[in-house]
Amino acid sequence: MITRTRTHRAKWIAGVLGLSLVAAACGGGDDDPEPGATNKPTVVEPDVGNEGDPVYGGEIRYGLEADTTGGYCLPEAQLAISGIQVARTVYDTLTMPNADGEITPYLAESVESNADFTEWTIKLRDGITFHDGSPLDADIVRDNIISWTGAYEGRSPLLLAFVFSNVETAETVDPLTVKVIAKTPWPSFEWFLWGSSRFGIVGRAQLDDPENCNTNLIGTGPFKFVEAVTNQRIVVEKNDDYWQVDADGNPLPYLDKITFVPQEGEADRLTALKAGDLDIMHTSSLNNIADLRETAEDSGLKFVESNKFGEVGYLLLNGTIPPFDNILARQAVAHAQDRQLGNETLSQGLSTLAQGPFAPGSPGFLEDAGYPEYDPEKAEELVAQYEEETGEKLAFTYTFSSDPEGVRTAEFLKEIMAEVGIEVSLNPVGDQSTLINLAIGRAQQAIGWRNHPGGNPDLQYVWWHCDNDPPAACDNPVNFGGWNDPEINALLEQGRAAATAEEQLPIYEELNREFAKKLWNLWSGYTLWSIAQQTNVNGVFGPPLPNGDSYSDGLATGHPTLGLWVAEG
Amino acid sequence: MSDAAAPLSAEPVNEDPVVYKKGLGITAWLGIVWLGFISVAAILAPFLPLDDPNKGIRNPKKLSYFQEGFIFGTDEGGRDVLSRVINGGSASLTIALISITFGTLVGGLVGLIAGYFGGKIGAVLSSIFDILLAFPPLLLALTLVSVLSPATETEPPTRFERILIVALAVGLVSIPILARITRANTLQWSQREFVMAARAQGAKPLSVMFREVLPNVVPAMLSIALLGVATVIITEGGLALFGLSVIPPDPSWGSMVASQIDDLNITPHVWIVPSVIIFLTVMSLNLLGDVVRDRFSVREAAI
Amino acid sequence: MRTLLRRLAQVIVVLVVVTFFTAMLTDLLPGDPATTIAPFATEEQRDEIREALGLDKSLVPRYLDWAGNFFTGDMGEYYAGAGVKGDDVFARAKDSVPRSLLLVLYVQVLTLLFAIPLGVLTAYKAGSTFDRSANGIVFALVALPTFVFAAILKFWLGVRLDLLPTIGYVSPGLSLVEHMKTMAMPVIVITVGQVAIYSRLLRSDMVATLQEDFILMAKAKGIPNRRILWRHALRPSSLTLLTVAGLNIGALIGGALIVERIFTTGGLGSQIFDAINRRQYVPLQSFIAIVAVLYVAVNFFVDILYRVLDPRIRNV
Repeated sequence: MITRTRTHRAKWIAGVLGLSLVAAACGGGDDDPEPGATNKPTVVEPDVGNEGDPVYGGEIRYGLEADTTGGYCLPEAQLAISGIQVARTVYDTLTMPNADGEITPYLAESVESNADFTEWTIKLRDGITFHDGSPLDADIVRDNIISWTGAYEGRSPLLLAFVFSNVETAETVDPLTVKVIAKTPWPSFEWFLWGSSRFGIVGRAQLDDPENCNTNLIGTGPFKFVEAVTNQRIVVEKNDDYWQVDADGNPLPYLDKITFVPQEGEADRLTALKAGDLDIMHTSSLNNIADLRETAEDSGLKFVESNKFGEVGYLLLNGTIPPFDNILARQAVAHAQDRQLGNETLSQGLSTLAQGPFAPGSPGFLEDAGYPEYDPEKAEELVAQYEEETGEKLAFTYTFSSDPEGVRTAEFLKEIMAEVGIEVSLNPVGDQSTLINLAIGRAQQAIGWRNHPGGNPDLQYVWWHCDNDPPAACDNPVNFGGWNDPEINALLEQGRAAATAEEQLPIYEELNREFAKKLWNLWSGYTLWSIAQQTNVNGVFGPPLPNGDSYSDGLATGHPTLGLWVAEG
Repeated sequence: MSDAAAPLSAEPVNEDPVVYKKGLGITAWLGIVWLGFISVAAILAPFLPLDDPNKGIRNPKKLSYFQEGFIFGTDEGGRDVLSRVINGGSASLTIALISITFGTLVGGLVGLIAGYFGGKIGAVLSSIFDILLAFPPLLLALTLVSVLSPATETEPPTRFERILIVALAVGLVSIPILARITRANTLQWSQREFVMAARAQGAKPLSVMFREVLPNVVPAMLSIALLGVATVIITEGGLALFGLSVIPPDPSWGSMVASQIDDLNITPHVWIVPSVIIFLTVMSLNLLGDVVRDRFSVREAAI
Repeated sequence: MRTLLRRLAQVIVVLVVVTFFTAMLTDLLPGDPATTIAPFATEEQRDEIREALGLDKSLVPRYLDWAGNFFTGDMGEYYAGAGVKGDDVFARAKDSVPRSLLLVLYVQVLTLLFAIPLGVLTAYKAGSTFDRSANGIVFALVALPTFVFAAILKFWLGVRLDLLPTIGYVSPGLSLVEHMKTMAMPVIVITVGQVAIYSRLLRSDMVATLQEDFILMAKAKGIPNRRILWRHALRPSSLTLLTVAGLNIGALIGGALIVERIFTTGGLGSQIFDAINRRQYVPLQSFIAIVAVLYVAVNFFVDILYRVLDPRIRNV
């Protein structure tokens, strides 16, 4: 609930978790002065020093919010935003969403299914080679997909094995065609070939490298990996044989070289950009975004910002132990949180209030999912009811990452809960490993969290679905709250089986409302992402996609780098 | 002021360089007054007519000095900075006092023994300081706080437990340096004629150590301990930067400053106020240290 | 020769105790590397990782594994996962040690450059306006939080005047000028906090020395004050300063952590911090061992210097 989105510490954790585990953005509200317009997607594009005809050559320094500690053996990697930004520079995924929220073929020429969505046929483009010169063919794509499921000799995927547990097998049909067989009908399977740009296709020499798969990066992407020095830089250089061309048929990419530089301090990263020590950077710090809005022009910078397909921040409740195994407790906390005030206090009013897990632009997103309004009297009633029913005082411990932003979130939570008589003990955790262990151990009562970037909602199946029957605690180890909800399980299964987007939509809207009713997670705000650049750096949203559509203007899973170019002078 | 501008190579004026006034001097008094004031304020904080230091969400946020009745304004959470800085004093001063007393007593005694007896005892004790000093202190303190307040339990440590844990961690880290200083000075003084003479006259080693050596070592110990207080207050800020100081929302000077790392120019008063108070406190302790040391000028004349 | 051998034995004892203590301490921290590497995994998968990395062993055998490797010249590697190879600790150490050592060297030199004259002059003019104002200034700088000072410097020297880079590190081998530029701000930021401590320590010893008989005698002989200060009084007064400067090595190497992060200069502080946070026991012990060796070596020279500076110390 409550707060701003990002923190130094949390970023680091994100690096480990592959998602963002954070002081969740509480903030409700919006910078939009219109009353009631709290949930609009915002994409603000730069209007200074923009664009023109692309120029070849040049190199840029790209400021990242963290380094990726686990390496880039994609089937095994657990990439957060910084890792994704690097991965999509070196690798290509088989599919890619467009600006309308549809999935389009990318490295694949086409992805088609049989009538009941149990067999998917992936046709590859001819003539594409990996950075080591080996061809992109059906064998390597099949082996990549098999490695995601955990059935490939020598590779041990963790999260991906859960994500792809519905894949029966993959086989080669001809040198450029792969067939994937699903266990159950899986109409959204195409989306999983993108997987937030985490599931790039890895070359054979990397995939089969038993020991150095994490450091021996071989992809088909616009840039070739040169070197990585932990916590200092990742250098990539132009792939001269890249397969994509721009709208005029000129070869891509434009740049010769990109040096990614991790700088965890948000203010420090922006200072480095202002000092000209970086050319471009990403940030989800609302302080930085507020600063950019005010000073970008004077500092010779421009920036884009977007909350489309963003992650949602939330208070992750443990549904397996008191007090939050009791819905009265969850409702009381939900009604007690003044999200609007939280947004003003913690997020400079920049956060967008969340009604559910699906961000603006994603199917299932609702302006009003029925999420409880701030209502202190109601909260007090619920507290009394809880105390009467259980004989216990309503109190809980909030565990959080103890960086300045995490602390402010926690302090706000404690204060606002005290107003209705809910006592919150604060449990600051100074180091990431402890926090991860606490999150996974299901021993904590409430934790600040951030996850679920946009795209097809079926991508979220893995985080919530349980295979065992309620009321037993969820057998899915990545459902960190441990709750096992029959309605949510059923809706996730229906959503997965729904044949078309039209069929999917009401199901996920229903899921959204179900979350607002059950309150397993208490949503705060959608993450606002920004890419800030020197005015001579252009092309953040890329050239057209291979099929002529535009790239998505969401920034939560990075942006394409193949269209970046630097104006002369 | 003209003195300050004199170049380093200037011929010193022909006056006795070590003339000491035996009175306390105005600056020393100022120091004492400040320390007294801040200590009394910290102790009496709960009884003073101040706002709750941990409440503020319904107040106007980010007020600057003297706005709407808040002398030092409010922070980003709307909390009264004046109240936080006074209440924070009790945490910061308690941590400083406990850790330095602990460090000076343990470190001083061990250093004295190591320096005076030398030989095997000295070598073993020195190795122990070496071992402790080989750990980067900030990192050791960070780890100690984590180990001593296990976050795995759903019951986090209470306010006072945490203050004690932080004080202990910082105190432990300060032991070896205090011990080394004491040892080095003890070594020096143990070789002096008057100590030798006392020994030759058949005085017991322990009595020589406490009677003849210790009083001469105290000034150096004291000045390092007083600098130590400064270091502790600053180190507490370092711990706070990594979220390992007092448990929020309780304030401490260090954590008030550290919380502003990304807001330096947005709400500058929130870090300036505690920084100035840290400065005044550190300064006063030092002035006081000078005075105490002057009074302690035991030296050979004492024999 | 005997002293040297004894010292060597001492180094090894220090190393063993320091690293074993580190191992114990990190063992007490909640959380383990397997969970950190594989947060999204079943407990069985994590057990596999534990087994593959030797994390299923208890503290003592795990420590012995590390010690066996370290003392035969193998610093080990990071835990990465069940199959893949982690970063080589030696490679990271080779990168970090020069950064940290150079940083400490520059800081020490710069600090002494300011602190010695300041300490001598404030002692000489003890109680004067100069003494008091110098005192005020150095303590104001101590009280100024590191990151605040860093941000002010970055804004002026980095953004406004555009003289110095605000992030990164360039090794002296690559470009000496760029190296100095990248190190300038981190060195200034740390130095500012040290000058007060060093100069106050020197001042305090110096004031005592100036009361001694041999100084009074020298004065009586009519030796100029300047000569008395710099030739006669400074040497015997520098004992505490020297001790602290030597002891400070460990503190500076690790204490640079905050500055290393703010300026992304890297170094042992960040490596150790990172290793603690990710429960990377093997690199942590190796890095702590490196700091311990550096520390013991520096202080060995400090002990020798003692004898040179103050001949009265005989049986140390």
